[in-house]
Amino acid sequence: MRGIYIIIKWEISRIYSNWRRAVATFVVPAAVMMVALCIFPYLINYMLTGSLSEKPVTIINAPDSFTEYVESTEGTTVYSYKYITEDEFSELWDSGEIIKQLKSGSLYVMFRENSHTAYVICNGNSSIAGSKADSFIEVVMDNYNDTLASQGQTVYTTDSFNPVTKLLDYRSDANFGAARVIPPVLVLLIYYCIYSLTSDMFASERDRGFYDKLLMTPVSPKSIMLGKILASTILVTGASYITFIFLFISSWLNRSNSSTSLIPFGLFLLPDQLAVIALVIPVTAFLCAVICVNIVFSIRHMKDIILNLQMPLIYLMADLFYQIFSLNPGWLEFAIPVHGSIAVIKTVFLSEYKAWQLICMLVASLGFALILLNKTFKKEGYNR
Amino acid sequence: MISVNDVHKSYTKNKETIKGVSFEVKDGMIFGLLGPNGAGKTTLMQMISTLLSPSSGSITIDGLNAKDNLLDIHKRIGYLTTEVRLDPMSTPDKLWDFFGELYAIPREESASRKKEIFCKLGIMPFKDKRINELSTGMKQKASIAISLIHNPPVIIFDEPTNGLDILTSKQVTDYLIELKNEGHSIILSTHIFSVAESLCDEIAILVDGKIVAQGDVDSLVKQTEAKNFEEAFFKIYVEHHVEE
Repeated sequence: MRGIYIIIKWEISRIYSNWRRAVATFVVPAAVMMVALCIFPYLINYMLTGSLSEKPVTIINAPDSFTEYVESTEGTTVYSYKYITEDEFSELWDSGEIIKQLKSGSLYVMFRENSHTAYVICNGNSSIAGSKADSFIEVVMDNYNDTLASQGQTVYTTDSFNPVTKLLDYRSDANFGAARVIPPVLVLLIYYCIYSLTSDMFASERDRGFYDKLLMTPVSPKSIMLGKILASTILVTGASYITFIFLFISSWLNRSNSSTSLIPFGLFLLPDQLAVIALVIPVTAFLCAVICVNIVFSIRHMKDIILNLQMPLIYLMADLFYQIFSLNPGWLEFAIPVHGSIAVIKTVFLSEYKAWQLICMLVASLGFALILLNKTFKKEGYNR
Repeated sequence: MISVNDVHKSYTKNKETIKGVSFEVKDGMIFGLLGPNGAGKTTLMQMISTLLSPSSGSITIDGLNAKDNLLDIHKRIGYLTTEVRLDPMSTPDKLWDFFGELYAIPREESASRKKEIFCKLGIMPFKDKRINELSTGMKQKASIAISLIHNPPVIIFDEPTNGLDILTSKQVTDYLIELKNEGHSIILSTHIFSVAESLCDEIAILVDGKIVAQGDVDSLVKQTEAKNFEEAFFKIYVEHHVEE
């Protein structure tokens, strides 16, 4: 145990003694996460609406003043309009087409002349559609009402809502979008950090001959390896927590109503949900560290080691795109090492997680890690 | 005392790198392994220092073998190779403290020994400089100091003066003689004749994984009827080397 402790202390102090290493370990993951969150709303928006810029809106019973307003502002907004009557809307509703369109992110606005109300209809379960509706109210309806008011006409009351207060009541709204992006990006970052740390702690040190120097000390090879694995687990867990805190702060500082603003907008998790994520992160980091170490000690040459360490990154990139499309993980997904971690974090964001999912993921991940660790201990390269 | 008995090592099924090597190194003696590149010097040194295990045969250090007493042997061995590159962002001082902890040397003892060895090898002026800011000679000196942190009775040096300038090389060889006089057993591998001649009490000439001649410099010269040690080596090499 003493040997493990000394190695952990040494590896952590090495990171702190060099500002470049410290920045690479603690700041880069948070920055990457934020960049990812800036880009993915556009991507998801594109996948849901088929458009990056123009957002199609269907107007039901549009008053003449509205069509005139739209014509006068043509080219100044990102919305494209389709006009239908209430009868046509009813027909489409009966055929199930409206529900289908709403689920894919479409926006409908129904004008009621008698009550002077404009109902903005969107899929309330989707934060993208929600923020899109909010953005429409702000950009189009408010300006339209201003125009009406300036002409002395009666304004339309819009079914406006504040997404932040709505999120507090129905927090799955904000977390819905987050569930698609944050879990796979977080796990991808965990692996990336572990990969860069193990490349340095094991592969480079073996290449430099420094690892042999450690092996010549009276500390057992198992303690040296475990010390390094635990050091990288601790460092990456710390970096992931910082990323997470940064994410929450950004989420709550950002009050923009733009449909392409950062998601998750108004991110909200309860203490028990945070505790689950806080547990999943170190287990995932440990598993990733063991996978990397096994790769390092299975291959002799440095170049091949680096190439092989990058292979799981390709798998995780593919998983990231799968996660954007898929929302409800199947039961078997929790038992797949690394992927199971993404599935658990995802269900936590959706407030749908159950204890068995967490236990299944923990057993599968730790079991796989221990088997792999045992195999690594038997490799010739590990003690030389 | 180091005892190497009929040691074989093969990395692949068809080729043996070390073919039945045996020798003994007594306390207070410098034993040299001399041979061309690829003769198996480094493999043999790594086996003695427990970094590699022999395919067959045995190696004991003070009667202890690596299989049963690995960590005890590590306390008795100091292994140095020019191939070692220390952590570039650390300083000699920090590395010393780290290895001191690994060897469980009490702090006060470690501090006084650090001062002694750093002064002897001239490390003091750059002890707080980062390794990547040091010259090759300085790095090598730091590496030597750290290898000897636990004052090991057995020292294994693979090409100790390789890549060093004349001054540093002299400093290192003088220090090796000092260590020998203190009673340390030293095995060093080299392909530099002057180093072998000036330092070693006994030399084994390794050709194609076999010890083909062994003895002190004078006896090897006499044995081959050569004018000097360099000629003696080439005669032995030509006689025993087999082209593959």
